[in-house]
Amino acid sequence: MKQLVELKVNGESYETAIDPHRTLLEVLRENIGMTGSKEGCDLGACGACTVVIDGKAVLACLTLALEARGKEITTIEGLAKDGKLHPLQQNFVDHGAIQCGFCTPGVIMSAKALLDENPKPTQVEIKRGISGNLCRCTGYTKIVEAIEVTAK
Amino acid sequence: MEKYSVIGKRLPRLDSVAKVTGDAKYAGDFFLPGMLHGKILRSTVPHAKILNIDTSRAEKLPGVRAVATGKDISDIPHGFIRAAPAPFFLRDKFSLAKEKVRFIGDEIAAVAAVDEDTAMEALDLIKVDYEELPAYFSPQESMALDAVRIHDHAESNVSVVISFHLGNIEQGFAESDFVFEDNYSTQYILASYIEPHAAVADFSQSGNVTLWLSTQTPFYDRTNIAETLGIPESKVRVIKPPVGGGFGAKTETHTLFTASAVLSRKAGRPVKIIYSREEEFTSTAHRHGVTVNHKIGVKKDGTIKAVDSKFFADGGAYNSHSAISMFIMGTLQNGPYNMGSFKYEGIRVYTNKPFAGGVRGHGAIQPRFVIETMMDSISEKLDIDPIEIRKMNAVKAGQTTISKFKIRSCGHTEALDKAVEEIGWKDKWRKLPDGKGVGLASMFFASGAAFSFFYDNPPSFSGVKINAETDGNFTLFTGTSDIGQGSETTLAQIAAEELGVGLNKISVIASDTATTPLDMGSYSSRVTVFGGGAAKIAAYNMKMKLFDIAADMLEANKDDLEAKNERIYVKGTPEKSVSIADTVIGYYNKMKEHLTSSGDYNPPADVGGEMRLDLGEVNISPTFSFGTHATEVDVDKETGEVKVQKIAAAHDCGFAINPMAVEGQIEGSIQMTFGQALLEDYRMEKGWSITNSFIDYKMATSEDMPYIKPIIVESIDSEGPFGAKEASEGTNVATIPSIANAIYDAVGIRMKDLPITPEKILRALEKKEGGK
Ligand code: FES
Ligand code: FES
Repeated sequence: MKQLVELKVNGESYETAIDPHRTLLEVLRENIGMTGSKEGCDLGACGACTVVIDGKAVLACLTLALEARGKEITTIEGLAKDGKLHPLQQNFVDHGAIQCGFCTPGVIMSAKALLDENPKPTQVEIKRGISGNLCRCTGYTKIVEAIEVTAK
Repeated sequence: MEKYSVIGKRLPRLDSVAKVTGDAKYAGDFFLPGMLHGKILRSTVPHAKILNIDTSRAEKLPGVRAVATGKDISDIPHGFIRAAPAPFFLRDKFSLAKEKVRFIGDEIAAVAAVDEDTAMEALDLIKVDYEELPAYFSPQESMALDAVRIHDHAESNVSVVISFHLGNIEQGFAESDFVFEDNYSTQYILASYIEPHAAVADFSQSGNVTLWLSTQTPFYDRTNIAETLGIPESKVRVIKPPVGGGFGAKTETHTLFTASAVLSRKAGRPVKIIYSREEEFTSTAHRHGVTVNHKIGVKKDGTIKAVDSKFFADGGAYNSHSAISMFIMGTLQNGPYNMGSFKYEGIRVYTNKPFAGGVRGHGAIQPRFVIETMMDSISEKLDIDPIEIRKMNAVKAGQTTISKFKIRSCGHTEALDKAVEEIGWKDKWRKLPDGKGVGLASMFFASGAAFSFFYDNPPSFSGVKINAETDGNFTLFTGTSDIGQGSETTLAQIAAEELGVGLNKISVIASDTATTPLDMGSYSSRVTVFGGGAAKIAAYNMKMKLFDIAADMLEANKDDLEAKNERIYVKGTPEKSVSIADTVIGYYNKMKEHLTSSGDYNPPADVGGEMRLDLGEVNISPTFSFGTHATEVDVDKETGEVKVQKIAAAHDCGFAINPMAVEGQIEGSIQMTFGQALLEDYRMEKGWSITNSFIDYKMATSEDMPYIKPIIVESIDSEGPFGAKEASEGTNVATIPSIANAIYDAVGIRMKDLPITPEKILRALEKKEGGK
């Protein structure tokens, strides 16, 4: 039986009818049309689906859409404001922290949650903060660099 | 004044804003009206004849729109090698099994339904009757005398044998003062891109099909899909949107590509198939695991006289790149050192496991581990410095190797010197306390394969077209596939430099078989030299057309013109110039036609030729990259844990078109070889994969990675565009032996079996202590 849910994503409300077992990731991508959050494993092991819910980095593939009702959901689509990139986004661009880009939305959301909570993290804390986000392209070097520069 | 204004610069990728904002649309992000979801039914037995497939119940399930089996596809199998003389040409894989299944995960049927849940439910309703056959999970088992054949054509289950003999090894060994012999083995690993394979196929009523695929080789896919569907190639359009990494495995036309098209044709609606991560582990191409017997003969002074090398590869159930993989494992031993004389036998064996294909560092990773580890043993035994022994045997620029490789440029010595300096070799080697050590290893790699493995008569190896716009912008059309390495940006930088405009003046339209010129794809580290070469020629041709017009406008001689800062100048007379935009308008007014140019890259005459993979005397690539890794490790003798502190990775990429991108390639590629050295291991039991997720299959995270110091060496090549060579696969070939050699320096044990786990370290330490 489908159920009507209202989700608040990037400051706007979306109402959609879903089966209760649907994950937030599926609903974001398939019902709401926001495909920025990626599915790399559907098992909580790659971090590509990371979004921020009420200030915390959360794996959208392990979160039921119903659980996210009434909460503030931020996705990669919500970071740039008025055509201006968020500093994290800008530094990822400038420092070459992107290759294939498939891990990028998840990594940036993890980094955002980290910096919001701990604006001056050490390099060790940065590496820990994104250790749930697998990247096969960059070796993480330039990702860590981009986050460090943002925190400065 | 700086020589260049666009190349040699650390410029952000053209697609970087799209990728940080979530705008970039990958194949799985396409949702078409009426789109169905497809799923694949896979074999649950490792080896069997298929007696019957009953799809009737699945077809009746509400919501199911199409079911396909082997009956719905043509009798043309596929495989990576399509154009080559027998016996190298053996395509042996059907997208959906015809009579047999050969591994757990082999594709049997495909279903399209209104949603994923219904498609999954339908798979459960398909009944397959098998007659099970004996199954073999190692080359030894499948080559046993009484083994049944996995493929009818393959006697003793041998998929391919490549052997060649260069010079005279009998004489070489006779002239050697010492002969070193050893055995090594490496494991299966996975490419493990973060984006699982995805396909969206839209078969129209007019008989045309358009596909969006996560692929490295859209043109090969087009041919394979046309052949599988039994329709002309011109009816198939493959578009490659941004791809979330490929690393070789996306050079295969995996079943979802063809099955989505077959299902879409049957259902009359678009079909999307995305592989689950588990399917990626069980059913896509892996890196060959090998066992090796290797013999090197040397003179007292360290000169290598002879190499005899035998490779046994576990090929899994299908051929894939087979002959190429086995060829490269042999031929890419002929550098960065002169081998004196060389003999190689590479045997690839079918087993009832997922098949092995090409993965980053294809065919170079395994022999390099062996050779560089042995070089270390040899230098110790002969009491020659490991740096010196490498230098004295090194191939040099201008030289032709016994394998007929023409070395146009070679930055090996510089790379070696810089890497060891960065790691602090002088103060550390043999000087660090017990448990700490440094090691080094060198490598070389091809900058693109100079053979057409797939097409008999391709128009060229890579083509680029450029359109000029009246606002002074250019649109560059290329068939090359950017799979994350940044090739679209590289090509645009090359064209911009040649045309004298900024990078922001070039838009790139790439990898669409209907609109972009043919290119073989992203593999063999070919794109910078081949695609970049074509871009430079096309841009030059465009510039000449512009100069023809500008010469009139400026009343100057064409030969006196130069393009820079978006204008065309008379050299030495800066006040005489015209903007490129005005020149384009001038062209239209005069010629009354669109202003376009094209360029094709083909390897020079001393490269390539007849594809005789059995000869081993053939110049496989226009030019070669070189490099050295120097590594520092800590080994915990209590736990066997290896901690890599630092890898200094020097890479000779000829000229760095974009140093930031080259560094990214070095850093990223090492994540894979660091993993293969210490962490990654695809394991199976009785044909069942027991590493089916990123939880079981350990890949390096940000916390696991050592500090990597990329060092760019520029030897300025005479063939590559602006002197550039490859920087994407060669960049990680030396990692594994540099770690193994550092472990030896730290605790005195030679690790010859990958991955190097704590258990293996402890066992080797025990053996060493016991032997004392
Ligand atoms: S898709 Fe959610 S963690 Fe991988
Ligand atoms: S950029 Fe490709 S996975 Fe991170």
